[in-house]
Amino acid sequence: MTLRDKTAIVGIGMTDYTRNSGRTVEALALEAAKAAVADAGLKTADIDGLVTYGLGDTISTNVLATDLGLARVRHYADYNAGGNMAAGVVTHAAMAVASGMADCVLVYRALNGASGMRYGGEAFAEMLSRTSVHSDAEGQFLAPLGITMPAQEFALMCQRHMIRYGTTHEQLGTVATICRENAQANPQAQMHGRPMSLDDYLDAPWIAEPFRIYDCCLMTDGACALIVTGAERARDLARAPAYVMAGVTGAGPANRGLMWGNYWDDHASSYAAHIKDDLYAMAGVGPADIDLAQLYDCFSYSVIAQLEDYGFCAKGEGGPFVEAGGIRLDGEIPVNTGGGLLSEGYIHGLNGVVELVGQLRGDGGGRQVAGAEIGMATAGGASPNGGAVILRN
Amino acid sequence: METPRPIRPKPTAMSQPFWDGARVGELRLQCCSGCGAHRFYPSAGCHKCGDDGYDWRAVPGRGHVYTWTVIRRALDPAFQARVPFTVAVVALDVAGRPLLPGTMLDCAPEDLRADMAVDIAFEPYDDDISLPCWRPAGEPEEEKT
Ligand SMILES: [Zn+2]
Repeated sequence: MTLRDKTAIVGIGMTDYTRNSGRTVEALALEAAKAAVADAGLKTADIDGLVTYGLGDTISTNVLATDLGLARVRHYADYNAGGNMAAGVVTHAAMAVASGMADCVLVYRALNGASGMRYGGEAFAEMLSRTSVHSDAEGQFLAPLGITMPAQEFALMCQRHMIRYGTTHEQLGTVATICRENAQANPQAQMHGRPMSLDDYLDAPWIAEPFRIYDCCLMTDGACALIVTGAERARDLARAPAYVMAGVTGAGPANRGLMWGNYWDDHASSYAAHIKDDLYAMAGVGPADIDLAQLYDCFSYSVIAQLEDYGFCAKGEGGPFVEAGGIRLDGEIPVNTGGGLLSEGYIHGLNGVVELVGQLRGDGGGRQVAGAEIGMATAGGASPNGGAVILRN
Repeated sequence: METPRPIRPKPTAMSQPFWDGARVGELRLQCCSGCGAHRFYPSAGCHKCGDDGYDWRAVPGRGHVYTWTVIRRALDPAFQARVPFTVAVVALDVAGRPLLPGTMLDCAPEDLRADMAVDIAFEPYDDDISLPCWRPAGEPEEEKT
């Protein structure tokens, strides 16, 4: 029994990605959901399962199911989780379909991440410890020191990687500028029409060393959605299916702490090192077979950690690999082809899955990866918990 | 106008012994009954062996810098008022090498080095709470670059 090739993503939808939607999260979710249904050539009534995730800032499945007028819901899940679950929700949907729990599962993420609830500050840290996303320990021992923003927590990890492997600011900046370059060919991207050079990056203000402002992902109002159904049904629908070859959500040892975790044995490594063997085994492919990757880039450093830990380069070589052009559109493994969270928008990682589906359909336009057949979308910043899916056309 | 105070820690039943020690200038950690490792943060089970038995022990507050961040922009007014400041995560020189985050004192960001020896200090927040901080160790250390 394996999940491989049993299901496919058959529809994708999204709203505009903006700084101020002027709309409710509910309305954004509904627009993206309807767009995904239409893209698939399905009827709204075909949806019988829903999955979402968020940190108290998405809209719950019961609200969206009601807005869609669904006669019944056969399966639903609302994860109280960060971007570490951005691929896990797709895996969940694929599991639900493969096991007969539902036929058509709508997966979505909606948020007013710029005009509504922002990530960082005392209230945010307090919310994470109160809602069991973090334990009370993180809030108790980090917030009084001034660690209340994800950027600060990931800065601690990045600095550790710099200490161990000599990773440089220029290498971080190269991740950011390549994402920005890709966004120039993506009209959906918030940073479309706003190119950035490495000098621009280096001249930008510090947030939390080693991070400057452009090491940090965008804040975005918007929503995206996708639909997972069985492989057989997928073949008869409007668009070419993106088959789910593999999906894993997992963690390494002592993974307590979604951002800075005080217990981990190696803060310069990530969840990817712990899940990649299962992931590749399920898909029946290895890193050399992957044509492109949407690597969860809440911060520039996250890309470097994941490149190493998914085996696209040797451990510690992520920085030089990036600097040599390895992640460019014409590089060894094109990464974050739509601009990523750094330059397309922060729909909490689910937009990476949507971008991957578009690429596998050949709809990438000026950013299309030639011959894209197998791709990966990941979820997890550089902490020891996260997930990924591998899709093929 | 008065600058707002930084966030006050909220001790729990699990962590109270740590804060009791901090108040009197003593570093107290859980020591695992199963494997003898010390750990931090306070937790119900040992992440190294899974044993749930432990006792609290006072340990020397000496360690070496594991990683750090220099915070130059903060969302909370209390912290924005003191930027730039450095938070260092220190590996303690005790069994299990637990990590302990604290504000770095008496050390400019450019002087901070990985593996630098540091000693703990407890800065009073109010009558009940003192916050762990780090200072460069008293004894001379060979500089590492
Ligand atoms: Zn133990």
